[in-house]
Amino acid sequence: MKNDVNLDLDVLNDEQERTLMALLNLIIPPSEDGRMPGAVDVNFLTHLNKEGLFPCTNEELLLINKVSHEVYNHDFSELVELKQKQLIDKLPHKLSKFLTWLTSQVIYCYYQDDEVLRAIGLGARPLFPEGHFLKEGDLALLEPVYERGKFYKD
Amino acid sequence: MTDEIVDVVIVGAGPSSAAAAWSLSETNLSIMCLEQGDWMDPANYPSTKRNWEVLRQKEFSPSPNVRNLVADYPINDNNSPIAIANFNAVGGGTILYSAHFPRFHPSDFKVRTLDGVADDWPLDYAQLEPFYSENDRMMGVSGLAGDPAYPPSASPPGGYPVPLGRVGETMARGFNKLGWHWWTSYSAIITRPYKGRQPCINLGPCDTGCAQGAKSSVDVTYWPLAIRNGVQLKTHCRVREITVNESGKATGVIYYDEKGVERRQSARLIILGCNGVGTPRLLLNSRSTNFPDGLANRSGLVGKNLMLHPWGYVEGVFEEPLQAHVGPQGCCILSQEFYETDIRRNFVRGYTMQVLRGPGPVQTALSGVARREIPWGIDHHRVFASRFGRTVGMAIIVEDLPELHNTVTLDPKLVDANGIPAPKITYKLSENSKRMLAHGLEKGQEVMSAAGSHKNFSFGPVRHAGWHLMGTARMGFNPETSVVNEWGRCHDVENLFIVDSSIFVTSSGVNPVSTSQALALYIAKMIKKNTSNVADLKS
Repeated sequence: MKNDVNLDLDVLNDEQERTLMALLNLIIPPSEDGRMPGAVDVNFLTHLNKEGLFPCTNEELLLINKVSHEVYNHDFSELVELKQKQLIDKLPHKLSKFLTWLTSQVIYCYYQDDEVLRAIGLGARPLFPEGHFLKEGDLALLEPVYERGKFYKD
Repeated sequence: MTDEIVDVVIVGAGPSSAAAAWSLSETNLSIMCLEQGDWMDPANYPSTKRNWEVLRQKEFSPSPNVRNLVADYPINDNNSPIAIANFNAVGGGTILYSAHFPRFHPSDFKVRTLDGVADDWPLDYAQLEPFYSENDRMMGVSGLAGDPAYPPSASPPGGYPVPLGRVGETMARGFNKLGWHWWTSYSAIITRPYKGRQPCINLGPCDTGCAQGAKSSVDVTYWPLAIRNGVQLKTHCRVREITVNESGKATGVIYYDEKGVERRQSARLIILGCNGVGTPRLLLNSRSTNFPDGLANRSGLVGKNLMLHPWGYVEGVFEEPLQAHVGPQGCCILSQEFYETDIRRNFVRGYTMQVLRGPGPVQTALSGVARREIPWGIDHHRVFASRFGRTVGMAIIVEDLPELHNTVTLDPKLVDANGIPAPKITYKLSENSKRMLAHGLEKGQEVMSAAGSHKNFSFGPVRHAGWHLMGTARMGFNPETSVVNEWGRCHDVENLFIVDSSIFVTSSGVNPVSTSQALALYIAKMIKKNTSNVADLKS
């Protein structure tokens, strides 16, 4: 994991952090060609901290690991990907809801990351002031519409 | 508490108020506008920030219940499948609108005569046409003249149409393949330098405010001119009620200033431009001995006949990269192939198909994951790439007909920060709207496929799309069946006018701002023409 150096990681204990990192890797792993980073690479902890969202994660992360121990007798982070997925499919409603929420937060963070934006062809910048070039388009395509003539009701 | 009387108080600083204020400012009347929000700073719009897609879900959400800003008032819309959207600031809804700016059609003003439903308007397209044109010039509207779906009119003054881009071209070919009407969008977005403003640079999310100032929101169009002409615009002023005297004339307003201090402003004439929810709310909150059921409500129609334009959403995914996420979000091309009544269909009236640009990366991923199309895991990247920049949206804007049971009332418990009762929405779609919506979703998918989409998706009504708030203080000749007369004057209160879309008799199948502003200019002209002295109104 890179770059979360400014964050006091004490907000999560080791168990919580291991579980979270395993989940991030499950949601968006790095691409096989190495072009796209994974969700563990995009300062997700900073995102959670900035949005004040840690209280929303702590209990659920522990619960997921608890279920992992109950089912497989192992930490969630130690399971192979297939077993992690199988476990997630079996989670109770409350934790499924948490994972839906976590996924949306991962997406918010991931698709605002400089490296990700560059990789998908966008600049790592705000939209303003540069804007975008957009092709005017071929207005000759309107010919059939002109030819059809008036069709509104008086 | 004493106050100096002004000739005109305008409540709300949104699109119609701004047009009326500017028009009246060409007289020597003293005019004051009270607005509960503040001026917006374009430097703070989401497009100036990296996290623009996050901000549109929060501070710039179209829902006041989500934003929950100081300027906002809560709205109980739990009893409606469509949530109310608005924005409270100088500029009102034009701050967040997508600036899609078509006019009503001639048929929209006479649906009773043509189709036997609802009611005809007390005026027609020809009467409004000069005001549409004037408004286009004042706002700065771009587009292309010659659309066979409309009567002839002058070229839009704000420049050439916004670029079609690959999205527009691709969809245009689809419409042509089916032999269906389409046209370039009428956009309240300038594409050339215009009245000191710089042209559009295709930022994208017009619906979160335009940092470039190319989108014609009234804080950059009408208001600077009105203020230069002497109109006093006071922000952070939330009006609680309109006061009346024993003879039933309006005497002024009571409002709360920024510090929550109750103040009074006397006026000879009052104009409301608070939208189809805010205006009935204010009237219903203005009860008195003379008006125990709310001001100007002897007809019992204040707050009734709410129309919202149920929206359908259609999406197509294309193989080829379309740069779909680039360009003015709500303006590209439109089709009115199914706008007029066709007795072969199972509904009356019709709808507009409004081609949209595609979503940004966050929204692409969020909706893809929510629909289980973009998976977790290693395939995430491949599927995301097949969607982003290749996804085209389309809005189906369904004409909503007036029904008495669709209402704005006062919530018995919910209040705003000043303790003023909040509006409660009770609304359901009619069978006609449901059938029209279903037809629109089907036809939307058909044209997506004709354009080359390999995967379509559609749903409706879209919940957070209740932008178009109409009909809750309808206009008409008969005081028993309408709230205002043919030039916006309340039947029951001779010096009280309404200029926003609450006076619409029917909703049409297009975005309403162009028409509500044209109406406001028309009403302002009628006020000027009919009232040499606003202290003694004579029609």
